[in-house]
Amino acid sequence: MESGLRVSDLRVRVANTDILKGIDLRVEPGKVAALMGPNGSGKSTLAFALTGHPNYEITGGSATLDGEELIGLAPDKRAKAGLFLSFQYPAAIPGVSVANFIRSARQAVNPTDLPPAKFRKMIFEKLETLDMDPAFLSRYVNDGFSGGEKKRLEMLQLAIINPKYAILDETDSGLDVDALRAVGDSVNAMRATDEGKQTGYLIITHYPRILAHIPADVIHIMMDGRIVKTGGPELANQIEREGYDRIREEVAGGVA
Amino acid sequence: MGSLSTMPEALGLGADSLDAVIERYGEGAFTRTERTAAFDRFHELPAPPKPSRNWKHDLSRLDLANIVVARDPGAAVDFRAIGANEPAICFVQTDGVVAVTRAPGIDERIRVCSLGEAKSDHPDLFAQVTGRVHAFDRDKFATLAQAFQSGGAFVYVPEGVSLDRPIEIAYVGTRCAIFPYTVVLVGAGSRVSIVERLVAKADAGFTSGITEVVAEPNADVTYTVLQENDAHATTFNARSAIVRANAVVRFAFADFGSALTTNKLSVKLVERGARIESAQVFSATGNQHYDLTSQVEHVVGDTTSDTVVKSAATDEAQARYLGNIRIDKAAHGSQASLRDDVLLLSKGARVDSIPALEIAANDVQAFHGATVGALDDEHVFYAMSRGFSREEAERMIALGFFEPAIARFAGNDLRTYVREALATTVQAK
Repeated sequence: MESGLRVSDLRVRVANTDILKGIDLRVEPGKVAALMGPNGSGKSTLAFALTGHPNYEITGGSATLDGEELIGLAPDKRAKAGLFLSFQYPAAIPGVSVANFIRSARQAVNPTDLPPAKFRKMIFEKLETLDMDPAFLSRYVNDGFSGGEKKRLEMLQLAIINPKYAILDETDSGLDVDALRAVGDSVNAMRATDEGKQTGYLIITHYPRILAHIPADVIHIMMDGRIVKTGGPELANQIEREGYDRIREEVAGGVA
Repeated sequence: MGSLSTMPEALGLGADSLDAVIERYGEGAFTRTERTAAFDRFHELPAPPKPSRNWKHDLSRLDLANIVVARDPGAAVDFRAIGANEPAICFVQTDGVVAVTRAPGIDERIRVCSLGEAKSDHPDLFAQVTGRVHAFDRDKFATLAQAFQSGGAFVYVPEGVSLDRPIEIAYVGTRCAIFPYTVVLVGAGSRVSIVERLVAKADAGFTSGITEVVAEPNADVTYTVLQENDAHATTFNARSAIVRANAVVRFAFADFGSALTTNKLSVKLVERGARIESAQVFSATGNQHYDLTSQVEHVVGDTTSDTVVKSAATDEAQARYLGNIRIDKAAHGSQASLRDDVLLLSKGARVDSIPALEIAANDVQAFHGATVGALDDEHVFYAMSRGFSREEAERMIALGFFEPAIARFAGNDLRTYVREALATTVQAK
C-alpha cells in the first residue's frame, strides 16, 4: 500500500471555471507540508476538493489516502478514511452542543470504545492546551463564536478526532499572537503523542508566521492553480523577505 | 345508568348520539340543555373554508355521521412512559371512562378528578373556570367538546401548595372519539406541572378537546401537551388561559400525530406582572396538515409574553401558523416576543407563517420574527466532513433547529422524549 496523501494531476472546476490546473503534491505520514500562495491562487479550492465539497467538480487526476482513492467518495467517507479539514470559515450549527458534536464526530470517524469518563478527561486536557474555557462545551457549535473561537474549536476537533491527515485551511488568519501560539501548542502536543505522531499535515497559509510554530518539512508555492515552486523551510523565509512577487517573476522568467 | 355492556353504540354526531352519551356517562359536567345548546352552536357557526392550493385538507369531507361517540371501551392501551419518574397523580381516561391513581404522600388538598365529580363535589370551583376561559361562541369544533363531553379532567391546586412531580393526564381513544376537557385552577402562590397526553388510536379517529386554565396571583403553572394520535385522526384542540398578577403560565406543545391537527391557543394577561411563555413544535410528514393559531392579549401593563414556534415540514405536508399578539391601550410597559421559524425539508411541503402584532399602547417592547428556510448545504457539508452521513447530518441540524423550543419543555425526561419523537420525522427529501 502506498502511504501518504497523494494528489496527482488534480484538476478542479468551480462554476464552469477551471481553478486547479493539474496539482501534484504529497503529504507523508508524520510530516508537515505547507501550501503557500497569494489570494485566489486556488489553495482553498484544493482543500474543499479533497474534502469532497459538492460544488467542486473534479475534471481530472486523482487523490489517494494511504492508497484509497478519495475522488468520488462522499465527504463523510473521506473523514472515515482519515481526512480532516480545519475550515477557514466553519459553519454554525445552532442547537447542537460542542460536546455532543465532538463526541459524535469522534464516534463516527473512530468507532472505538471511548467511555464517557475517558472522553471527558481527554477533552478537558485538550481544552487546557488550547486555553479554552470548559463552558465552550455546552455552547452551540460555532453559534455566535468569534473568529478566534471558531479556529480554536476546529483545533479541538482535530485533537479529539486525531485524523491520519489534516488540512489546515488558513487556520492562522485572523488570529492574534496568543491564539496562534495556542494553535501551534495544540498541534505540537498532538505530534508529541504516540497516537498523534503519525498524522500528516497540509498547512495552507499566506503567511510564514504559523510555520514558526509548526515547522514545515516541505513548502509548496501555488499560483494560478498550479504548484510553481517546491522547497525546504527556507522558502518561507524568502517569502517573508521578498513577498510572492519575486517568485511570480521567477516563474514568468522560467516560462519565457 | 345501566351496565356499560348493555348500552347501545352511538354512531355519528347527532341528537340521538347526544342522548346515548348522556345515558352512558351521565350528564356529568354539562346538563342536557347545555349540551344541546353547544351542539346547536356547532351547527350555527360557519363551515370551514373549502380547500385551496395553500391548504389542501378538506374538512367538508369529514364524515360526521361515522364518528363513534359512545361505545364500550377497548382494552387498556400502553403508551410510552416519560422517563423513569412516576407522576405524582395519573389521570387516565380511556374512551369515556376515568381512572385516577395517586402516588403515596401527595398533598391531599390537590384535587384531580373527573369534571362530573368536580361539578357535584366542588360546584363553586368548577363554575369559576369551566366554560369561562375559552370563547366557545367563535370556535365551531370546541362546541363539540362540550356537547359530547365525557370524563374530563379537573385539576385544583389550592393556595400555597407546590408539587414537584408532574400530574399526568392521558386521554386515550380506543374505540370511540374522545372529547378531552381539562379544567385547571391553580391557587395563589402555588406551583404545578401538568402533562397532557393525547393518544387516539385508529378506531377513535376524531378528537376535539378543550383546556381551560386559571392561574391565580403568583401561581406558577407548566402545561405540556404531547399529541400522538393515530396518523389518520382528525384533532382539534383549543387551550385558553387567564393569567393573574405575577403569575406565570408555561405552555409547551409537541404535536406528532393526526392527519389534521388544529390547535388554538388563547391567553389573556389580566393583571400586572402576569407572564406567559409558550413553545410549540411539530414536524409534519406525509400528507399531514397542521393549523396553529395563538393569540395573546396583554390586557394590562407590565405583562410579558414570550412565544416560540419551531416547525418542520416534509413530503407533501402543509402547515400554517397565525400568531397574534394584542397589547391593549392601557397595557403600558408590556413586553411581547413572538418567534416563529419553519424548516422546509422537501419541495412539496408548504408552511405559511403569519405573525401579527396589534399594539394600542405606547411604551411597550414588542418583537416578532419569522423565518422559512431549508437546510443549509454548507452546514450539511461541514457536518459530513466530520464523519456524519448525509442522513445523520441533516437529522442533527434539523433537531438543532428545534432545540430552542425543546429547551422550554420542563425537565430532561420530557426534552429527551420530544427529541426522540422528532428525530423519527425529520429527514430531508
